[in-house]
Amino acid sequence: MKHPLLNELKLALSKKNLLLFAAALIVILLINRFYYLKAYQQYPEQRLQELETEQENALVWSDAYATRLERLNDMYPGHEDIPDATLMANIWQHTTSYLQILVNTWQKEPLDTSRILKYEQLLDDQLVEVDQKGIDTGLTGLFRSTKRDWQQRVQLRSAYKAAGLTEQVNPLQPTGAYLLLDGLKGDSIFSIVLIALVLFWNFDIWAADFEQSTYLLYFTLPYSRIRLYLNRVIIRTLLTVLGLAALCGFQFTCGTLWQGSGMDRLVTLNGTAMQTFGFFGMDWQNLQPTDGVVSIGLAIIAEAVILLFYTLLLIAITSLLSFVTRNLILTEVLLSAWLILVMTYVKYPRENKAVGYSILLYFQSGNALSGALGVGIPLLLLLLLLLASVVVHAGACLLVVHQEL
Amino acid sequence: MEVILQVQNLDKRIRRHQILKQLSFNVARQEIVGFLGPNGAGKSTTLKCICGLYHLSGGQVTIDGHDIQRQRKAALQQLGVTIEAPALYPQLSGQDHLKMVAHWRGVSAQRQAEMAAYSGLGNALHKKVQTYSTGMRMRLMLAMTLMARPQLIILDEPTSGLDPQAIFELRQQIQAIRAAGSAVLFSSHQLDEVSKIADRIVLLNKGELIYDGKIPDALGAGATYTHYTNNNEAALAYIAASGLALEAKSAPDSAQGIKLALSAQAVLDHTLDQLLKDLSARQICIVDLVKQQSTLEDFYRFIYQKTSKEVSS
Repeated sequence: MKHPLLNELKLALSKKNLLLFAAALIVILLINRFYYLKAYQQYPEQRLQELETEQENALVWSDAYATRLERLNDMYPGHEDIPDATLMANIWQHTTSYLQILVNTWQKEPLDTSRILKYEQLLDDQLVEVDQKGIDTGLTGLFRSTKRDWQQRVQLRSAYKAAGLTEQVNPLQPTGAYLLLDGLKGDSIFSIVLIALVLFWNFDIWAADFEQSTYLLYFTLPYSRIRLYLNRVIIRTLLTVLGLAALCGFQFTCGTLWQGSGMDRLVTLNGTAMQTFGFFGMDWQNLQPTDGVVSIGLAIIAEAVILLFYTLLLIAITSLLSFVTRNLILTEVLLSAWLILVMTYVKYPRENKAVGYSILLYFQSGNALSGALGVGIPLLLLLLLLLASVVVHAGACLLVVHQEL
Repeated sequence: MEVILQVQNLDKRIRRHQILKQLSFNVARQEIVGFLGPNGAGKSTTLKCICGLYHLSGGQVTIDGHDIQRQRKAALQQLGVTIEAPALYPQLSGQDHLKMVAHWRGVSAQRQAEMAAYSGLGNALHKKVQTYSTGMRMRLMLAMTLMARPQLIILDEPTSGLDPQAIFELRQQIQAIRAAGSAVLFSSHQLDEVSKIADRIVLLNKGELIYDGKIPDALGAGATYTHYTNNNEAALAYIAASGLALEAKSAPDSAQGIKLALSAQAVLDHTLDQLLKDLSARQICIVDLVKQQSTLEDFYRFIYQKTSKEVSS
């Protein structure tokens, strides 16, 4: 079969697909303007509120630990718990002070970023002794979230220092790299747009041919049915991936033009999936072997690879559905239902339940696309996605061979 | 005559319904065969089995000696197909379609240009197919079907939706295809058109072959013969007593002498010839014989009525 790419290119570059692409570009621009830029601008206010809440909490615990120390000294002088109690009382007192300084700094304009970074570091560094001594901080929130998050902050800070780079005070700056990193993690509007495009670019891959009877033209060509099937699916997959890459490139360009490329950032591998990948026993309090700091570029590549494999699975499912239903509307309805399911899960994730009990739900989960970076077995996830794609395509090929056309 | 298409004992079942039953017929090279039958007879099913779109439940289909199930690629390389309405991509132009088929079939740009000229669509080739009339679509489909110079061309209801001029042009094109060396198997409900161009007809009813023969034989078989005799009553009495499978009655126009109108069995079994000899031996002379040529429609109705009677008896 000569020049299959040219034929499929013409069919794939239909008015519908081009309009979808144009619509996606507009949606991306709107997302950037009304979501990312807005979040970036609102971050100082949001951070201030968080710090004020932390400060209120710190005041309570500071008083509590101070009172406890006083009672220990009064009632049990020389008790073995006094050194730890003293340490904790001091730490909470310092925490209260540092938080007050941070609140004051965030209230001023322009932001004194070096001061913010300094006191954030002091807040974290004072906890080293607590960690070394294994003191149980309970639900006080001393580590500001979990101990693992504290360790990741320390790890990130060290990495920045080692690289000679400066940390960002406002992590939501919509640089090119940040937009891609956040966009590709699977639970963002950008990734929903990409997933929707994959589905609606390809839902008519076979159904259109059956509805307009051009399958009679295609499947009477002197080639095996499997070859005819794979030819189209492979070309469409390549075109889809190219289309997604173009959109990612557009997103990166938008961010770079507005706020710079942001490629000098470092990121911590995301551990979200581990909270939901329930059938693995996870220790949430300590760094996992896969926790680490990588350049933002590497993180983007890793996310893009996961999204690529996810896209392969989506195209396989879309192709199978399109062939089985032979009906444009039915295929569209089924895929729309899938997309709504994905969007619903992204918006209302079930954080307390183990999504990982059902691997199918996991594939729907936004966490699958981001969490794999934190799962200790990212290759397994990629293999599962690839295997699922192969299985679905194999099923489709069987149908193509055996079904009456 | 060398056979290009051989259908042997073709069976097709769809969800326990027997659609085709032991169907067998051939198409020879450079032959035009009309494939006829009422709606639901199994024509489209047969054509789809031949094209490899349906799997065979039994029997064999070979195209130029290649089994469609085991040697699909080789068989389909000899085949050009237009099944049901012209299957075209509405968002593409006629030129795009010709290029696409040329690419798929691996033919040269020169051949593609030849087919573009053959289609007779001119500048319309650059317009999207959704703007084409039915006749234009058929011309484009024919050009696409002939692109790779197939040995066998299958056309399913090619005249459907065409105006008389377009039908005339299509008839000429089919004859030109035969002249160029290809065989044509086409189904149609336009019996008049079939009788004008087909060399042979294959009739299907309820999945079974009920007639496979040349057009002249078919037309002869349905013919009405009017015999002028010198003794009408004796002739009728003999025919009634003979047990021959003939329908005989008095001609209505007795003012011009006595006419005997007979609807004859197909001339294949020479029933009419035997009758004339027997009448002559009994001194019943045939003074004149007028054959009223039947149409294919007459034969079509005759054969299906006969088949229905046989089934009910």
